Amino acid sequence: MIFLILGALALGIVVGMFFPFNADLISRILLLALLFLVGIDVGSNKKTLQTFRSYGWSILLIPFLTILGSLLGGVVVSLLTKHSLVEGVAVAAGMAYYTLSSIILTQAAGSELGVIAFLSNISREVLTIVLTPALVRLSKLAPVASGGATSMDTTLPVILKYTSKEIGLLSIVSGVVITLLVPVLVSFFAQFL
Amino acid sequence: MIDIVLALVLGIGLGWFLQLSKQQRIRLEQTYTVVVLLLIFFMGVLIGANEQVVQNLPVYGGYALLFALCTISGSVLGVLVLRRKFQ
Repeated sequence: MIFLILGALALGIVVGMFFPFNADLISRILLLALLFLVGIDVGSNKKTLQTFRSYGWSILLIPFLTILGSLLGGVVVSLLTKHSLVEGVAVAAGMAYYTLSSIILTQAAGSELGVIAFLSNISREVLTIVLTPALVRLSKLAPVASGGATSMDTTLPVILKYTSKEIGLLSIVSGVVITLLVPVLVSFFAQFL
Repeated sequence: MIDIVLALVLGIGLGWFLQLSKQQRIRLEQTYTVVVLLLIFFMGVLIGANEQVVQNLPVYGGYALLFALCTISGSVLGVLVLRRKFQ
């Protein structure tokens, strides 16, 4: 999948370099279609809700603290670089969901921030897979937090391998909650760009 | 932003009442993949059309790595307080 995505991106860049055209409207329509599909997927999956019920509301602390920590990380980046505070938290709010966050930011703020969101969130996914064996020494929840939105799918196999089935269930719930919040948070911050 | 929330909520609402078979779930995922690839392609078109962005790609890569490391660290620190609650 990651190679297909990089291929589509490379193809798009080449087409854009030689035959630039306005793709704003079609991108927006496709984005809404994508979110609709994500919604159907989450809404029809009742297993997540069962895990949620068995742990109660406290399970939400995992995605909330994960997001809070990431946003603080974004604030730190904005202090270290030329990026503004809003740019920092907008990119950080991608939570490793690189396709969605970069598309929303490209549409809202142009391709510079979109590219940074794409590269940083894809790096976060890859780094989570690489770092999980080390992160579990800090806490079993550490790789779940590191994976952000991807802890429900792409980073789940490696998280399961180094933790337990129970943590795997928490990982899915956290990933689902974050996946739903990423488009809302990113587009919220994008309003101030 | 409202259209984004609306698309999500409509999807969840519809999904809630659907009993998807395995076949339908696979088709949903395939459709999702096609839409993602199209979106990434069009994002590429926007990037490619902007010469300055293409030239600055290595610089953006550096920022991106810094973002990745800082957000990972922040999130991991965030859940460390839950260490005892979830084992």
